Amino acid sequence: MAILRDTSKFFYWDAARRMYVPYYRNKEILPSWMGFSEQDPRVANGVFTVLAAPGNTAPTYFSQPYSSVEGLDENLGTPFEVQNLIFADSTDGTAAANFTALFTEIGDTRQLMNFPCHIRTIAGTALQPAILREPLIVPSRHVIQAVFTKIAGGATNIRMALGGRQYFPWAPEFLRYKSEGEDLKGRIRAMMERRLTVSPFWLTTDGPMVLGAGTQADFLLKPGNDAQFEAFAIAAVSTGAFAWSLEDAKTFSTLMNGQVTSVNATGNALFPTIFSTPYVLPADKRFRLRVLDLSGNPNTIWFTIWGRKIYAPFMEMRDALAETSVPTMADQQALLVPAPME
Amino acid sequence: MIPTWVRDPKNDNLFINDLRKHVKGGVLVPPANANPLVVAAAPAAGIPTLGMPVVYEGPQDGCREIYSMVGAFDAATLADPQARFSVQIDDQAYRRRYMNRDILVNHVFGTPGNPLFLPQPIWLENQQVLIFQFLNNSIVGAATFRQLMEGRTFQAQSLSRSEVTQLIGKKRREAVFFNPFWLTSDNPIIIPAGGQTTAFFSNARDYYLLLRYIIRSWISTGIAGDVNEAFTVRFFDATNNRPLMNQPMTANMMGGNSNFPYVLPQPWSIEPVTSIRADFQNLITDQPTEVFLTFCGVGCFVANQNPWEGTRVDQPAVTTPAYGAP
Repeated sequence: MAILRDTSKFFYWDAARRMYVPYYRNKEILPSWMGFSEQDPRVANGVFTVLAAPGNTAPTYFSQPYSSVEGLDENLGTPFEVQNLIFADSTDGTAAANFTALFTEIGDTRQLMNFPCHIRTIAGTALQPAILREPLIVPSRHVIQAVFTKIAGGATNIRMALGGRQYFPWAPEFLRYKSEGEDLKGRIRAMMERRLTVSPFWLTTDGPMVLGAGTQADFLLKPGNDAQFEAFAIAAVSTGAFAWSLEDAKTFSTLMNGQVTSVNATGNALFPTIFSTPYVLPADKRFRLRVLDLSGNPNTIWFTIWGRKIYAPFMEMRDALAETSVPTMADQQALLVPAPME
Repeated sequence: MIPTWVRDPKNDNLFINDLRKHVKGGVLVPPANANPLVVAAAPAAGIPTLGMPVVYEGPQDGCREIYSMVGAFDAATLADPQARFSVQIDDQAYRRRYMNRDILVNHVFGTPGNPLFLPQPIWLENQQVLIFQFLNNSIVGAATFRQLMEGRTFQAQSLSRSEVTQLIGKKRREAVFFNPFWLTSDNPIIIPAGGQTTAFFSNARDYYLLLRYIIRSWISTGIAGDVNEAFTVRFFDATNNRPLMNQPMTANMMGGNSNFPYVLPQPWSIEPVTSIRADFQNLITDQPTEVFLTFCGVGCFVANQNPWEGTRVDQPAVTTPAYGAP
């Protein structure tokens, strides 16, 4: 709340005129919603139909256009900073939505999740939006491909928005407010540099976890070898109560001294369970999730860890590589990443 | 923030900051005869019944800073008056109104568990008065409403500390320029069944707005179409027609309620004498939908610049005949 009350980024005290004056640049950053691309002919008034299960619905996409005036954008275009995910399901009802989503950043060929995630573990509504701890930067002309798959039941009509803000560095008014335009462009350049190294990521199991009544099973969550994964929060959807524990599958390092129940330690996309301290899983490692059904009935569980991928090596790993004659596959991947983030 | 712990530099001993005794959290309630406030039903549609003006007075023992608003209807109040009960808040000291017209109380007051946190605190000097004018717009029944405001008081004893007096000085300066502001549509919004309409949200001449929240509610008796999402909207900055979304967004994708308002990822800066345009589409196909949409944020007084300042109007070089001269 203190942040909400802070107006210092928007107004400054002009001692000579003895009044507060707004920074002009904020006028050129707009709160925005990015819905499905209008260029997909299957999208009508923002509505997209996900085919009935078990059909495969061809991908749709979110796209950020390029716009500028006389090159004033200095090749920065009109970038979009995604800060939350919002959706609505008009057929099944948003609270009972029953489909998965898989997002891929086409321009960077980065998949933003390792496997399709249940929509109610990654997206909320405007009342409780699923807020990204690491914003997703979508530069102009970039496309986020979205593949939606119905889990069960008939076709459903959905809407979705990437909520965030849109930057207009080319606004002609910056010819008048030059220093403020430069400030804004500097901020965008920093964002563009950061997105090369850090991007949001949703980590889930390879498909839903299906348990028999009262049974226990282990499942792996595989973020891949291309980057470190930093876990922020947990959201799950299930047909019944369950207990779970999480450990680093390679080192057997556990995050808890025993199993926790879904009632105590599992939120959803509206109110996820937030890690008190983010947990960093190095690039060559995986989580092992041990799950026990508590419902006494067959239980299907969709479990998603929110986080971000960091495409930068650990300092220790880089030092080790300098001295290791035979680097591992994972180490070699790490060599290819851009420079470490400041 | 008031630090809880202070260390005595002479002997390094730890103490509780004595300011904690004199800068106190607490609530401000209206006079007993207005809590609860009962306002009779409107005599006819479009002619609201005005309640007695409810006076909130700052305490005499110190300045008060208001953070959040809490209110609730008594159980006997019917759904229709609950959905149509509105309020105007006037600051008597500065002669300011915190909204462009009356706003639904459900967009101003939260609940004890989820109060509406003001984007800008209200600063009340000793015995400074706020007047809440409630309006019952419902012809169905009376409304009974209870309310309070949460905040903290800087009691006179705390003024012995220079940190406090400096902070109060800064707060007073801010209070001259900043106040919370609710912006709603210039006129009521009614979307015909399955149809469309456009509404404008206009800013005044002396205010620069920083809009932080979107809160919405709606009334419809329709049963056909999408009754859960009710309507879609597209926002435009009316000064340059710049859209905020590429697709229309539904009621639950663009706004919340006073418990959980949609917090805009970027506050929307609205310059003086400009407006927001909103294009609505009714998703309910058999009945009209009445929409109440409120932006809540910060109003900043900016000096209204004289457009002719610094401009010299030269006398014409050639003498022209006076108007109407033969």
